[in-house]
Amino acid sequence: MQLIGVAAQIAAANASAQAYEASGEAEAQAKRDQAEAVESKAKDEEIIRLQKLRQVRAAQRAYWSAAGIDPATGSPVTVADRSYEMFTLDQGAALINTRSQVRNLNNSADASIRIGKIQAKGARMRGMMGAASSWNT
Amino acid sequence: MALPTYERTILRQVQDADMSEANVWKTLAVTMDNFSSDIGSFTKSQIANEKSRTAAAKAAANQQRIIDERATSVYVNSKESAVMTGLSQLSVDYANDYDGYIKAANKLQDVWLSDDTLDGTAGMRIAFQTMVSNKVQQYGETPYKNFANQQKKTAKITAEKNVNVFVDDAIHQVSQFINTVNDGSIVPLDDLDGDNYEKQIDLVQGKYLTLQAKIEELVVNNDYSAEDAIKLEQEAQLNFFSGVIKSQIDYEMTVGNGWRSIDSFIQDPNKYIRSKAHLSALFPESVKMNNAMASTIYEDMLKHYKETLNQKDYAETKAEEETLQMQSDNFSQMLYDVVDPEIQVDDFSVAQMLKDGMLTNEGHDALIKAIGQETYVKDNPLVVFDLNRQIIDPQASYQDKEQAITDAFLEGDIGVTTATGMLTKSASSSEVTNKKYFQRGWNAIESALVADLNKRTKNEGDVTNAAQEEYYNRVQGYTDDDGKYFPPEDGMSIYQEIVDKYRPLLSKTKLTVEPQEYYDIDTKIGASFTEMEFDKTTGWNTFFVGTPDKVQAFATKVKVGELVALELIPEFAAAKILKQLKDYIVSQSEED
Repeated sequence: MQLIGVAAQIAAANASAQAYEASGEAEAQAKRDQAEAVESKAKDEEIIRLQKLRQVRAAQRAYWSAAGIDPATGSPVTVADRSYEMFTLDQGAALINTRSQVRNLNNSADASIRIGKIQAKGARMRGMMGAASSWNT
Repeated sequence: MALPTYERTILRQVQDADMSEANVWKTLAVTMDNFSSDIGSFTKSQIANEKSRTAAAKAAANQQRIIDERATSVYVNSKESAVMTGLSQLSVDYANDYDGYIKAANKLQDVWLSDDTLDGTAGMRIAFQTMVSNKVQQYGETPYKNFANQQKKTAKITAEKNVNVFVDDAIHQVSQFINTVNDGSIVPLDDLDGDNYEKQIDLVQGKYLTLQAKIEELVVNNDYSAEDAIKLEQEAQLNFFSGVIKSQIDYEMTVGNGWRSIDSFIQDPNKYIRSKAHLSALFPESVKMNNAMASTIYEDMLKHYKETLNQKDYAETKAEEETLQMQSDNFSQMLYDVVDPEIQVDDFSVAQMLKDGMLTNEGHDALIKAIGQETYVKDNPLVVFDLNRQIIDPQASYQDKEQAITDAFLEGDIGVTTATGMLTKSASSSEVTNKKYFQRGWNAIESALVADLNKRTKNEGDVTNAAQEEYYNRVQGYTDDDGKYFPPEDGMSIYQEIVDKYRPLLSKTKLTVEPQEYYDIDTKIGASFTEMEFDKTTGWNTFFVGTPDKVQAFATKVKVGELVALELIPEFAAAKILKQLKDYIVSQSEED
């Protein structure tokens, strides 16, 4: 094969490799965006749950007051604490879920970059191999 | 209204497994698989390419090989004919000389192999060399076989000769024993000294054993068949027996009993042998002489005595030849003495010598004539011409030459001086005439200067004598007037020059041969005639030209001739000096 043909083959392999790398980086960026979105959404949901807790505690106090029971002593306090405890359990579960998702997404982002690089190297090697084969013919 | 409570909305989720790392490995694995696949393909491709390249190279090499082989074949075929012709000729030229053939073949081979063309094509030199080597061997077979056969034959002849020599030697030893018995040196068997017989028996037995060993060697080393070996042994033994009997008969002949002994032997060979103790000792007891053997020995003896008689004739002939030689020497000496004033030679002493057989009749007559000759005899140039021819003839003996000179002298055709000079020349002429091509130049001069040998004139005779004299002297070497020595010249190079020099003289009606330039020897070299001294011990005369180590014979002769011509010395003195010169030359050559 002519020298030009071999050079073109090598150039094509390089282009393909660069595409793989770019693709990996793009995918990684998408994953990181996705992770950020998950984190942001988790924060919003935390605020909603906090508002929900406040509403529940206010309704309980209204309930206890309507019944003529002091909401600051005795069972009302226990019930109120119980609500808060449930709230914190929600918060913990949400935190674990969110962190897990964010971690997965970040890992995936890193993996995408590495995959892109591996694929890029593979493309380069294949290109070089092809060029070498061509060169020898 | 029921009591409001906070209800949980979120439970811990079971998250999907984090496959990111796995995906990386998966991708890596896939990539590696692809790479393996690629590299496999690449390797296959490489192998295929390599195979392809190898095949191509092989094809190209094959193609080149075919081209080289074709070129080699063409070259070798084109040369093969020349090689075969050359070696075939050598095979003929050296049919019986293998060593010579190989040497000549190697020389030819070197020439053939020096061709640069052989190095231009791969394999051509080795192919050509192999062909030549094979052909050398092939054509060398005949010379080698002939050579081997010749060697074998020679070895066989030598071996047979060895056996025969051995038998002859044994016969010789036995003959001595027989002679010592017959002359009484060894006494008979019954005397005290009988040990000699025992020793002789042992000696003869040893000879028989040695003969058998030699015969066996012939079988082992010389491819003799058993039959041939037995035959040769019988012949050798018979030869030995015959030799023993002949030795005895030889003795019997000396005492006048020879033929009776032969008769006695043939009548009863065994009785004849056993009747004599010393003969009996020489024949092993197992040997019985049969009639065939006796007949063979008998015929051998008859032949032996016939040969002996022939040998006597031969001896007598040799004795006669010796007498003639002696008479010839005496005649030459006496003729020199006749012209020597210091020696008196008279008719009586010459007659006595004839009576004593010391002279031939012709020699006697010539001397008587020489004694009585007082007048100067002018040489007949035609006779001198003929004598000169005879003197330089390498086929003629000294006696023949002397006879011719004597006859010419008796006829009055030459004088005493000429005769003695010619006798001197006859004695030493072979040194010159044996030189290469001498005769051819001599004859060429004669052919050029004599128109018809049957009708030659005196003028031609004189001119030719002078020309041939110059030719003779120049081939021999001579010294000129100034004492300068001219070494011998090649006869073939000078004869034409001599012919050209003398031919003009033929046109003269009356020949006057002037002394030639190279004859002009300075007569003052050496002592004068009046002052010369002759040393009888060494034979040197101070008159001679040259030195005692290297006498210049030609120059001396010319000096004598010129002094005679100038009448400064008498003829008899010239003859005496020439005689002394001849004796001196002869004594010098004997010393050498």
